[in-house]
Amino acid sequence: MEKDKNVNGLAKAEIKILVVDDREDNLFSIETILEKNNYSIVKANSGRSALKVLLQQQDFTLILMDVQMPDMNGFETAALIYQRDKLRHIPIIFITAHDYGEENIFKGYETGGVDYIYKPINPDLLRYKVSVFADLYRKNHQLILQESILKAVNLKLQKEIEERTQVQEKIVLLNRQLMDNNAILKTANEELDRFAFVASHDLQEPLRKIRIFSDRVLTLFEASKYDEVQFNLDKIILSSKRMQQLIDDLLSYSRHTNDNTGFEETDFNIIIKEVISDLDHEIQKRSARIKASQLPTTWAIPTQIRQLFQNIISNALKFGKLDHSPQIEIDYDVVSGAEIAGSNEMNKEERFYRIYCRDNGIGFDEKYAEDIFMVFKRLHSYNEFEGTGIGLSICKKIVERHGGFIHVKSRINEGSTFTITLPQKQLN
Amino acid sequence: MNEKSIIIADDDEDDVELFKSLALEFCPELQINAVENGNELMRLLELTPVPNIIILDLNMPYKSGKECLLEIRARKKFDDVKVIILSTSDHIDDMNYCMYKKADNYFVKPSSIEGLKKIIAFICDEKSVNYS
Repeated sequence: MEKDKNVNGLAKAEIKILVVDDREDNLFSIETILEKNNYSIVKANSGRSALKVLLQQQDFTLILMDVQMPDMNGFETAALIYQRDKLRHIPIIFITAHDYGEENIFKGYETGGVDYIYKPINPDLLRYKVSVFADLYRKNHQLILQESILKAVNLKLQKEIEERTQVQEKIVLLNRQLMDNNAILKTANEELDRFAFVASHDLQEPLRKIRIFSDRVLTLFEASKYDEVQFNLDKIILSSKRMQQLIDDLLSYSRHTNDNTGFEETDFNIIIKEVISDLDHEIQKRSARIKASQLPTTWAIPTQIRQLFQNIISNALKFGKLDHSPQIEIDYDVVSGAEIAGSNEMNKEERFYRIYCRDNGIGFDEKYAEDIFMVFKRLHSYNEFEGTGIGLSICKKIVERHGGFIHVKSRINEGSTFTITLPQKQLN
Repeated sequence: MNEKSIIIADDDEDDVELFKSLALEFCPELQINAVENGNELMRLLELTPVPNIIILDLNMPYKSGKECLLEIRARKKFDDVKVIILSTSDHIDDMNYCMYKKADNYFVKPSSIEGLKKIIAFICDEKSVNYS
């Protein structure tokens, strides 16, 4: 059947034809001619009744319109039909008994008609002409359907694009977070590498000593050389103590990695007083003099700041010259971010406290100024000076946690100056 | 028995003392001088007769063992000196580097007296001086 041939049922378009003629026999004969084609045919026996039909139904494929009708002829009817927007797309074929002449034919075309069929009707011709319009209608219908599908697809696409844009924005955000996290990870990794290095060297070292001196003790026993046992046991005990100190310091270093709470208004004068009293014994022993000027109060973690000054001051005491009593001076000034080398663009406007801690100790070659803040980096062998090489790396970590910097200037035999730069107000 | 002069450069006093005392016991022909860093080693090398053997720790303050090795191997005067690395580092990169830079041998610091004895025995047996 004709209808079923339509592609995928997309255009299940029913072909509806309105036939208008005042004569019942004409209507009947047209209906008979078109009957085979399965069109649905609506009949009207006057222009008026055609208009009435068209008030209720507008989905006609084609109108076949007799021209000579009483009351209202075909042309007049067509003109009235085409006044209505909804009907303007329906083609009209005029059916007429006479050759009206060019003038009348033109009148028909002018009202919107598309074709003429002359009486007596040639059935094949009528069928053919109607089928052309039916095809056109079906194709049109299909196009409309496809268009609506396309529109739907387009809408979907648009939505997808919107979603994708949102997703992309999210990705950009996530990427930025990822990059931030990567930077943190990279630092953590470098620290871990350093830890692994430390574990394989600095921690192994006292262990190796313990083993080899124990071994020595064994051989001494075998050789009955008891007088040397004491000496070697002392070495073992010393190495064990050193090992313990290393582990303690490592723990305290890693603890500082995680502790990020406890910021409060911190009076540095009080902190310095506490540190000096803690180090009293050492200060007495070395007959050291510590001169601390008035220091600022700022937003900080007091326990960490205490540790910071404890490490720096005890460092200054430790590396004092043998023939001089240590002199330590602490004071500060205020600078803007722009005056600090290595500060980024963002804190050019920010104000910083710069706290100086000068000593008159043995100093060191300034090419090691960066090294001394690295975990376990020591400039002296531990036979010369005790300590694990963690103190200053903790200082650096503390200062960085407070959004600041720590630097050192030094000259061999002239002493060192540690400069601690801290922002006046802590950004959350 | 030929006397052999040795300079040992190591900042670890314990290791130097152990080495000395075991050498005294098992290889009395070794004449041992000790320095505690690279700078002192290079200074001593200028002042004293060229030794037969230099034992180098790698990780020393001021001037590392590797730096010393490079300086020594750059001097014709020290062509006949055996340079033996004795380090805590068991890292393959360190070993390769030192052997590539013409160290004569590389030992990782042992954890036992037996291990240290073996190293001393090796040094003791080392054919000294000139085979030009």
